[in-house]
Amino acid sequence: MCRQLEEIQSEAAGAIAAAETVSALDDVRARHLAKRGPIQAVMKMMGNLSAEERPIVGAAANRVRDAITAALSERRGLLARAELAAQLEAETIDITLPGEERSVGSTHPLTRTMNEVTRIFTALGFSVATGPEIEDDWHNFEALNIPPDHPARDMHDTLYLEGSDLLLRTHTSPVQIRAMQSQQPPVAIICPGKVFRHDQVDQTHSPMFHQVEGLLVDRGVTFGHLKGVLEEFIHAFFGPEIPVRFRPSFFPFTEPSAEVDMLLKTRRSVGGQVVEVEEWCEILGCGMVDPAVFEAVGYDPEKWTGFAFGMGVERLAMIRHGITDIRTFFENDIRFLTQL
Amino acid sequence: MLVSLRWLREHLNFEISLDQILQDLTDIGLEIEGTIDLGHRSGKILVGEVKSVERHPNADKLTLCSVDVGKPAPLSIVCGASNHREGDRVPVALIGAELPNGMRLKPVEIRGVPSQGMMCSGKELHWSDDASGILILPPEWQVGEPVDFLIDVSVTANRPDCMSIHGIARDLAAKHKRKTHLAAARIQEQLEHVEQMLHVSVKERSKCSRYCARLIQGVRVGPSPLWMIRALESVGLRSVNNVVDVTNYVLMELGHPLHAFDAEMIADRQITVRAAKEGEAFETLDGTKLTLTEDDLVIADGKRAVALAGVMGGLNSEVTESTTTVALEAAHFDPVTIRRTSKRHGIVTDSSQRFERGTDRAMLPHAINRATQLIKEICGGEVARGTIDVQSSITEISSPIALRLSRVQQLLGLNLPHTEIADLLVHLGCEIVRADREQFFVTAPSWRVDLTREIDLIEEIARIRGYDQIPVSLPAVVGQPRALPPQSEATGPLTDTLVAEGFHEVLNFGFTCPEFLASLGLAENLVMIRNPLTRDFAAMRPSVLPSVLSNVAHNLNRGASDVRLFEIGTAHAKDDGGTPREWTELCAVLCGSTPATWSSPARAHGFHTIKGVAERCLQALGIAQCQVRPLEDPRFHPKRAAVLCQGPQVLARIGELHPDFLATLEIERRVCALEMQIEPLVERARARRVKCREVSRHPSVDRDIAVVVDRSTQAGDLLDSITRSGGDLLESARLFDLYEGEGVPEGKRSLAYALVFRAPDRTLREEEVQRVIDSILSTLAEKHGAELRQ
Repeated sequence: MCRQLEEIQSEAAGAIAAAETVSALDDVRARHLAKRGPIQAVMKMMGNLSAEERPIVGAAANRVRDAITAALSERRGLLARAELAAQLEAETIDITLPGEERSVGSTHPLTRTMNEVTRIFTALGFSVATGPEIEDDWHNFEALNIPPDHPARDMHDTLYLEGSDLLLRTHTSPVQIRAMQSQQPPVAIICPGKVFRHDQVDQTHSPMFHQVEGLLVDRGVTFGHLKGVLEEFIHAFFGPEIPVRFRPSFFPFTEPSAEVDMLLKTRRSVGGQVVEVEEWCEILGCGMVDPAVFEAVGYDPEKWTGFAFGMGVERLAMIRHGITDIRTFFENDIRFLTQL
Repeated sequence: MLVSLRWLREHLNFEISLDQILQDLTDIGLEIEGTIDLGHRSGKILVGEVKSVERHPNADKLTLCSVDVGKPAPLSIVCGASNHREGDRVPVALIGAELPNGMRLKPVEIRGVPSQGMMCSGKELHWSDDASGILILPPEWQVGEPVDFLIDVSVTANRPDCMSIHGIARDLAAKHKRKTHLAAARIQEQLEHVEQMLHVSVKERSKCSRYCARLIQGVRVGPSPLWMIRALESVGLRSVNNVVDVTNYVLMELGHPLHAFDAEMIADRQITVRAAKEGEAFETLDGTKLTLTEDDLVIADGKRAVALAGVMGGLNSEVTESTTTVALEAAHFDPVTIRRTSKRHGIVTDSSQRFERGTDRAMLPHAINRATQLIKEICGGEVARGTIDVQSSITEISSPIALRLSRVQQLLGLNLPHTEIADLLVHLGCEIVRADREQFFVTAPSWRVDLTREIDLIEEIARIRGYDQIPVSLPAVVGQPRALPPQSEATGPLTDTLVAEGFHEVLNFGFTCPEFLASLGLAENLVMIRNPLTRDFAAMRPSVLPSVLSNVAHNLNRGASDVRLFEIGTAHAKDDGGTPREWTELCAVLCGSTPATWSSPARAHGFHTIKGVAERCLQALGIAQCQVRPLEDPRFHPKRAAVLCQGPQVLARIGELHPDFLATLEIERRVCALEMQIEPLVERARARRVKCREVSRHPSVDRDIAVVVDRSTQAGDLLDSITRSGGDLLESARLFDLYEGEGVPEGKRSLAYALVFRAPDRTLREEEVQRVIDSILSTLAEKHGAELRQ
């Protein structure tokens, strides 16, 4: 009987080796390990054996069955891997076909610029304030220490509304006035928004443009703080290595007043040759809030000091993205909008 | 203001390099707008002397000149001009020089003769407009010197004291802790006293606080000497005649406007400073005829106005070739009066610009003496003795400004010794009349009309000391917990959603052309601009839609085929009371189709595309449910437009635009638009507080049903009925197919829904689900005549 078992095992081994597919292998299993299979047949005949032989043959039968089971499982693993490999091979695709498209939109370059300015100043502790675009003379001029007939009014060519004394704000400073009227210090705000001037449209002028202005009022705010905050901003926005300088200037609502320049590398034609030169480029105006402004809004200038600043968003975006014509921003050509 | 380095140096009594001057001007707040190097930087544009002029051997119209430029050997220069003579001083550009127009001089041969440089015209040096010949220079200029260096200085509105060569020198000197000096004029007086020959009366003392006059007889009016002509040109003025030139020269030198009258034309030799009469006619010396108002101030003689005070002289008393007696005026006028007159009549002159900012009242005697001296030197004549000096009795004697020394540190964050503060102020011309341990009492110099308050002095200390000397530090700022304005709670999610939907944000002007708006049917209640630049910018837009549609037209015209644009911006209109109202709206516009790709066909944008966009926009604000109602608006398609609303509150207007509306913009494509008012959405977005439900752990039962209904039955109504009759167990119902055609009777359509049923607490049994489906179907049959499609 043991010989019989050996034959069964070797026959099964042959069949397993010959099976080329998982399903063929399943047939081999069915044939050799089934309830009515050959091993089972041998087992059934064990009743005829002596008590000494029975355990020996029984053990041998179990061994053969285990061996066949192990061989089946090994072969199955082998075949399954090969089949999967063949299937995957057949699934070859062109990975260079474009990914499935879905149009992505964009925010306007000026919105992005304003958002980034906002992010930097909010991280420094400022909040965003907004206000109306149609203003009155008091908020736009008088409260900002620009009385009627002041030569500084020439700095702002103003658009007025028909049939009233209202005007289109020439800067976002009136938002600062409104903020100070509505709360006590400390005040730390920035005011992004549209402003309007009686300017002809050309490469660098637009009758409507965007500003971000800022205001900090607290106890003990100094010109040194003003320099610190604006340097932080410029370095965060344009890069940490950019040299910055503060130049004395004049704004009716601040004193001392300054304009801030940064050193920029630009290309320019000198004697017919294009060379890279470094130039100071003006990017914002600022100063310590004039006591007259504090008086206009009912703050005590002895108790509070503060600084204010303002910058043109178009200018920041033009410098940053190398845009040479301000009109590009308002043409809204998709080919321009998708570049940023 | 143009500053000539040559002239400026005459007023700087200390050594200072050009580079230092430029640096200092910037540092003290006199911004440099531009410079023109005429030899100082390059060393290649020099004063030369023409030694000989010969005919060019090969050309009749050219000359061959030998020019000494202070080098060992004279230069041989070929020249096409003909106005230069032997002995003339001329500007010479050497080989390698760069002219102000950017041209660089290269070695050339002209008609076979090499030229070692170029003699320049006024135009070539950007000195004057004269291109007719070589710019002949004054004989006083040294051969071999650079010609000049011109600096365009931008003087801020608060600094009239720097609107002159002397003023700028004075401010530069303060930076170096030096003082400039003005030499007193020496005048030989020969005639009787001026008061015997001229009478001055000031009627408007508040508008003219001081009036000085002098008289010179027997002058010869004619051309000015070269040095005077070139000096005026260097600061951008043109020579008129020697008398007028003197007044302009003193104006530029000292910053004080003067006026010269032909004294013979002054009726009764009587000068009266008075208000103009309403409607009084006046002709300026440049021939402009004005009608004056009572607010204008005039200088009048016994009969008529002879000058518009502080702005311009009159034609009737102008100094001409035949003038022999000159009355000189130096006055101090009220800035606001001059500014109003200048604005009212649209006349801006060198004189008005200085008066409206504030002139130095104490400078008058010096300025008039300086001019008198120059007229006598240049034009000859005899000077009447003395000066008429009418001073308003109500001269303000301003009390000293108290400067608290602690305040300097408090505001600047810069700690300065008190002696240093005193030093800075004194060199600015201030006087410290009194001082104690805490404060200085300071009087400002007469030319600094802008220094009236403590803060003005603190600014001066910072300015002269240098802003770069102020140490940088950061303030302690405690921010607000909500740093962004409420509006951003709506605009933020809306922008994010639209960008994800493939829309590009646009920004447009807030004003547009009223006729354009009228053609779109938007002419009512417009907020109009009184003084628009052009008609195109005359009305505030009452809607963002027209702006965005213009952008659509622009992009279609440039070949775009998938246009998705949006703007979130302000719009304005007058309310019933005529008061302008401002609000913010979102407008998103779709036109064209998504392009076909290898994996998906092109899909045209239509009503349901924009509807989906609108729904996702609302979802982004936490508004999941809303009703759809037809929209009646002439701008929209009558059958393809809707409002999304919650009760009476309109959330969005969506739809295809009416072809007539689009025709105005010459758009012939289908365009879909979405409009939302932002303000009502802000409150909803802010009030949004989502409470989460626990998700069920039990499996769902999914069933599809298809019903056949009349084509006119609205899908929205069907879904409503399904949702209502589905009760709590119906988790969702999604329309997955819409079919008309074979198998469905004519005039009907089939709608197929994927229904998902689920209970939070148990696994649903088949019978339970069937009961709900039966209830749904019977409701649909009852309400909509729906039949189950088998």
